[in-house]
Amino acid sequence: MMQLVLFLALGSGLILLLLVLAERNRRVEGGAEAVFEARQALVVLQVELLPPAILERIFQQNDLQYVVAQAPRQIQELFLQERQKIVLSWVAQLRKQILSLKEFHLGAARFYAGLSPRTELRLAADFLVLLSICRALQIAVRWRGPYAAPRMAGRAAAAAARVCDFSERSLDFLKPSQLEPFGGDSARNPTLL
Amino acid sequence: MLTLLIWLSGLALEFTILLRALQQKTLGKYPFFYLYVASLLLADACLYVLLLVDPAVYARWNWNVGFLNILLSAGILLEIFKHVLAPYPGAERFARIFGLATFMMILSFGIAYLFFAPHAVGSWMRRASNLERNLLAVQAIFLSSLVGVIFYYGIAIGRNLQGMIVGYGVCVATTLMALAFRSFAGPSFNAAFTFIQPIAYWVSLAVWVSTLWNYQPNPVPLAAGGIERDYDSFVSGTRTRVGELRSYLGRAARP
Repeated sequence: MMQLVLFLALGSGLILLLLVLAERNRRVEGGAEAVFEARQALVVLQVELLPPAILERIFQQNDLQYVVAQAPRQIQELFLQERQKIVLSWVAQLRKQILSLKEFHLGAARFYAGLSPRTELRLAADFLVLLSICRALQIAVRWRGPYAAPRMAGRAAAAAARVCDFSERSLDFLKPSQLEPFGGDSARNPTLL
Repeated sequence: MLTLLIWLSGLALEFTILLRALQQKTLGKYPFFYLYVASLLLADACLYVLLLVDPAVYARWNWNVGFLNILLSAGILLEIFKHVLAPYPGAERFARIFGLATFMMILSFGIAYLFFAPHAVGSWMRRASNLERNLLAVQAIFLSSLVGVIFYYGIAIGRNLQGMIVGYGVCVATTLMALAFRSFAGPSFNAAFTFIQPIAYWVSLAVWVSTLWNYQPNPVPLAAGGIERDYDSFVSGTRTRVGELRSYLGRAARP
């Protein structure tokens, strides 16, 4: 019976993989194009998603204190709902950034003839853990509200900035000074909360 | 009657695949795959004649030819390595080492099984069927590993190779499951098996005819332009950042 289950699991697993493969329509990633896209995403993140002013506005409790003090209960609830949506969206961006780092790593590592499978397996486990933590954070915010972990915002922003920093070093040859997509160094390296 | 119909239409499909390869001049592009299809065509044609002339001899040769075809089907795995993974040396190395490790594990298990498991019992036919099932299981593991590597490293594959993998995989997976059922249920499953296996095989041939009708080369990746560092410094950079992220998020997640 055990043998039967094992072989059936192996066969059905393979069929599942093949179904996904048959449906997959992955475009070819050009090296330069992929790197350019990664750079663009990085700039958008640094310029539009992680400025300290926006983060402070989202995560500081001044707004909550004001609403609690001045507004009726319905407005308070509405405020918390809206703020929760914003925080969740922000965590999702962090997750996306980690995924982007992962994709960038895999996209480059697959070309290295000296790749170490053991290191790759360890990295795969690390990415899996990181993404799981992000998911746990999303669940915590969803369950306990936008102010569930007061220090979460600063640390998550720092983490995101570190990802940006690493990606930036990987993409050194495509500096904004050479491309000028959004202009100005003031947009880079946002101060963390 | 249905089995015979599938058999004859299968012969026609195998012939069509080879004919299209000749017309498209793609025999040299996928030599191992077409060698496998040619061996299938030759084997099926000879076995059909043998079945009409001497069914007793047919039964014995059917097994021999089946094993030979299983061995030749490894050519499809070679085509995957050659066309899909070769342009990505890192992913190819990963798949090669992972495949070798899997092979060593299976070999060790097989040797241990010979020594410690109870001696094989049952008819020659039953033992041959179990051996066929085990060989197919090894191929299913290899194929799954290769597809896993293709997914993990986000490797794009062309229609020809995609069809080759899907067609072969469907046949391997279905036959493996059918053989496992037959080994478990015994002769009562024989009637169903004689339909399931040829149908799965026919589906594979149909997939190959459809996806290999025209030559569509595998997409050629552009090299990781501009990133001229060695793997060690690249991977240490990633690991450092992942470690930092992990500790940050770990602390943030604590209440």
